[in-house]
Amino acid sequence: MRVILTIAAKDLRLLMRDRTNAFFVIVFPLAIAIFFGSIFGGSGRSIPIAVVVESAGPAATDFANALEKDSTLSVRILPSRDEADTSVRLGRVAACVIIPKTFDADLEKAMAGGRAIVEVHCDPARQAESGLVVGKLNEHAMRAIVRMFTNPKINSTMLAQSKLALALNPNMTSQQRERVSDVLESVQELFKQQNREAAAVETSKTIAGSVNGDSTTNTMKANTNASTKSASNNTENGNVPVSTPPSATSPDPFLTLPIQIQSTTLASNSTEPPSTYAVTFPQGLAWGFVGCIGAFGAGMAEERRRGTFMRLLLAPCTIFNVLAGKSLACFTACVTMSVFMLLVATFGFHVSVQNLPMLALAIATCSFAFSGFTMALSGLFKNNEGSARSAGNAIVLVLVMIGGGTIPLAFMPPFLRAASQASPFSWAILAIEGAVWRGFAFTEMLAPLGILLFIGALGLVLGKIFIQKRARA
Amino acid sequence: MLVLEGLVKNFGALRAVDGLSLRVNRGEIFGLLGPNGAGKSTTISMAIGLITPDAGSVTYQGLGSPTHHMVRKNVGVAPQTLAIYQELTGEENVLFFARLQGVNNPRVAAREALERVGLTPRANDRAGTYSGGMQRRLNLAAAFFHKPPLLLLDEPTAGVDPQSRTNILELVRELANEGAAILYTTHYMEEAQKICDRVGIMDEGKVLVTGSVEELLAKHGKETLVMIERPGGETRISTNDPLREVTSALEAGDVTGLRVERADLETVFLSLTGKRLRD
Ligand SMILES: Nc1ncnc2c1ncn2[C@@H]1O[C@H](COP(=O)(O)OP(=O)(O)OP(=O)(O)O)[C@@H](O)[C@H]1O
Ligand SMILES: [Mg+2]
Repeated sequence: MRVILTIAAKDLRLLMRDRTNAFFVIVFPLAIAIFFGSIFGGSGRSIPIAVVVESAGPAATDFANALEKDSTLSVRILPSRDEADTSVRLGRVAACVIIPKTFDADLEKAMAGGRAIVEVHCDPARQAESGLVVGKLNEHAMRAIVRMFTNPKINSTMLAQSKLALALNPNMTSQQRERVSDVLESVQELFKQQNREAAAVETSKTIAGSVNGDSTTNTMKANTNASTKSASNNTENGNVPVSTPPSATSPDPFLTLPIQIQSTTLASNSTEPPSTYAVTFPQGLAWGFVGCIGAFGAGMAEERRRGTFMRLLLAPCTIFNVLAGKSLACFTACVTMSVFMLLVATFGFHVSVQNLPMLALAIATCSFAFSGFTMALSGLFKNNEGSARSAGNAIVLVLVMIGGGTIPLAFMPPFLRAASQASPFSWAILAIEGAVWRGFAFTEMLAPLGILLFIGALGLVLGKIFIQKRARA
Repeated sequence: MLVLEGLVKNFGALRAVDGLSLRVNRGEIFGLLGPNGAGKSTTISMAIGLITPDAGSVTYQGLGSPTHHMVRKNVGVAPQTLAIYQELTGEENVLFFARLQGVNNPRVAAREALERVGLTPRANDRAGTYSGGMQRRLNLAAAFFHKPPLLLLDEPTAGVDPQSRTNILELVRELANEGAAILYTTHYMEEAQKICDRVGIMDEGKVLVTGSVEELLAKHGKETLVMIERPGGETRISTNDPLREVTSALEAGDVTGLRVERADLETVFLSLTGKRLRD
C-alpha cells in the first residue's frame, strides 16, 4: 500500500508541475461541458433558409408570412429560384423553400384531388438541419390547410370546383360518384357551420400537433385519421432512405392533403445529387488533416527537448528554414493523405468529383493552411512533447467539432456559430465540397481559398514568432 | 580562434556564468574543468549563440560574427544532451546533418565520421537501439563530420567505456592536430591532463585559473612525491623536480624499486577552492 500511495503521489505531482497538464485536468473539461451544454441545451437557435414566393396569390403570401414569423427559422426572401439554389449551394442557408407559381391555383382545386406543392431544396451536407426544415414546413402546411378550410371564400370556390371535377370524372362509377357527392354535401354543411364561427383559427394547434415529425420522409403523408396513404412519392432523394414504404392501395384523392412538401437534395447545375460518400468525403478529409496536425504538431517541442534544434541552428538553419522545412513535411503529408483518400473515394466508393483541377487547388490550399496552422500550434508549447501533443490535439478537436460539420450549425448558440466561421476546418470543408459536389465556380472558390491562404500564412508567421521567442532563453 | 570575454548569464536569481573570459587557439585543446553546475554547458550555449549572454562578448577570430548564421557553419558541437534522432539510423543521423551543412560528399563524410567513432558495424541500426556510450559517440560524430575549425565538445566521454574513451581522446587529439580549435568540457581530471594543451578550472560560474597542466601543477599543485626503494627500506622525497631526484638516486645505485606520485589537477582544484572536485 505504501508503494502504491507513493507512486500515486508522485504521479499527481508530475501532473501538476506542468501547467499544460493542469489545464487539461481542470479548465478543459469545464470548457467542454459548457460547450456541449450550450449546444444541446438552450433555445433561440434558428435555421437559415431561403424562401422564394413565385405565386402572387393570397395563400402563397400567407404561407411565406407564416414561415417568416416562425422563430425556429431565419428566413431570407429571395427573388428567384436560381438565387435561392445558389445560396444553398454556397452553404449560406441549410435549404431553400420554393412556393411555385401555380401554388394558389392548385390549392383551389384541392377538393378535386389537386395538390399544391412546396418545393424544398436541401443541402445534402446539412441533413440534420434540412430535416428540421422539412418538419417545420409540414407543420406550416397543416396550418395552412386548416386556414383554408375555415376560409369561406376559399372553401366555397373549392367545393364548386370539386363538384364540377366530380361530374366530369370519367373513371368513376355512378355509385362512387354518388357517395363522393354525399361527402361533398356534408363537407359543405360543415363549412357553413364553421364559417359562422369566426374564431376557429385556433384549431390549427391541435392538428399541427399530430403531424408526423419524421420529416426526412419526402412527401408528407396524411396521418390525421386516414388509414390509406398517398402513393405519390415522386421525389428523389438519393441520400435519405424513405422510411415509410409507399402503400399498395390505390390513391384516394380525398384523403390526400392539398399541400405537399416535396423535398429534394440540391443538385448543382443539372447534375445528379451527390452520393452519400461524396457528401461525407470532405469531412473525411478534414479528419485526415486532424491526423496530420497531430503527427507534426509536437515536432518542434521534440526537437527542442532533444537538443537537435541546436544542431539545426548551427547547420546553419535559420528559424525560418526549420519552420519552412517542417511545414513542407506537414504539407506533403496532408497532400499525400488527401490523394490517398481521393483514390479510395473514387475507386472504392464511386465518388465522382465534379471539378478535379479545382479539387487539386482546394487540397493544396487546405494543406498549406493546415501546415501553417500546425507550425503556430507547435510553437505554442514548451519542451514537454507529451503535453504539447495533448494540448494541440484538444485545440484541434474543438476546432474540427465546431467547424467540421460534426455538430450542425443550427444546434450551436450564436457565439459558437461565429467561432465556427473562424475554424479553418469550416473553410476547408466548404472549399473541398465546392469542388466535389457543390459545383463552385472559380469566383465562388475565391472566398474560402483566400481565407485558407490567410490562415496558413498567419500560422507560419505566428509559428516563427513563438519559436523565436522560445529559442532565446 | 574562439574568444570569450566577460560572459555573464543569470537564470533568475542564479548566476550561472559570472564574468567568464577565455580564448581557444587553432590546433589547441582547451579543457574547461569544473564540477557539476559550474556553468560549463551554459558557457558552450553562449559560445554558439544558442542563448544570449546578459553581458560579455563572443568572437570567432577570422570567421565573423557568431550571430551570423553562415558563420555558425564553422562550429561543430557535441552537446551534453544527446542531440540525435532516435528513429533514424546512425548513418541517417549524420547524413542528415551533413546534407544540411552542404558538405560536398555527405555520404562519404558521414561514413568517415562513423568510422572514426567506431560505429561502422552499427551504422544501419536505429540510434534508439544503441547503448548509451554508442549514442554518445554518434553525438560526437555529428559534431565533427564537416571538419569545422571550431569544435565545442561538452563531456563527449560521459558514459563511455574505457576502451572507447581512449579512442575518443585519440580522435579529439587528431582533430586538434588537423588544425581545429577545441573547447572540451569535462569533470574528469585524468582526461584533461591527458589531452588538453591548456585547461581552465571553473567553479560557480568563474574561471579560477587557466594555463597548461604543467603550469597549473607547478603553481597550485603540491610537490611531486618520489619514492625510492632500497634493500634498507623506502625513502620519500617531496620535490619540484622529480626527474633530477630520480636520476641522482639511480646514479647512487642500489635501487630496487621506484615510484613517482605526481600532483594532479584534483589537488590543484582542492587548493584553489578548498573543495574536492567529486565527492
Ligand atoms: N535553463 C536553465 N534554467 C535555470 N537554470 C539553469 C538553466 N540551465 C542551467 N541552469 C543552472 O546554471 C548552472 C550551471 O549549469 P550548467 O549546465 O552550465 O553546468 P555544467 O557545468 O554544465 O554542469 P554539468 O557538469 O553537470 O554538466 C546550474 O546551477 C544550473 O542549475
Ligand atoms: Mg554541463
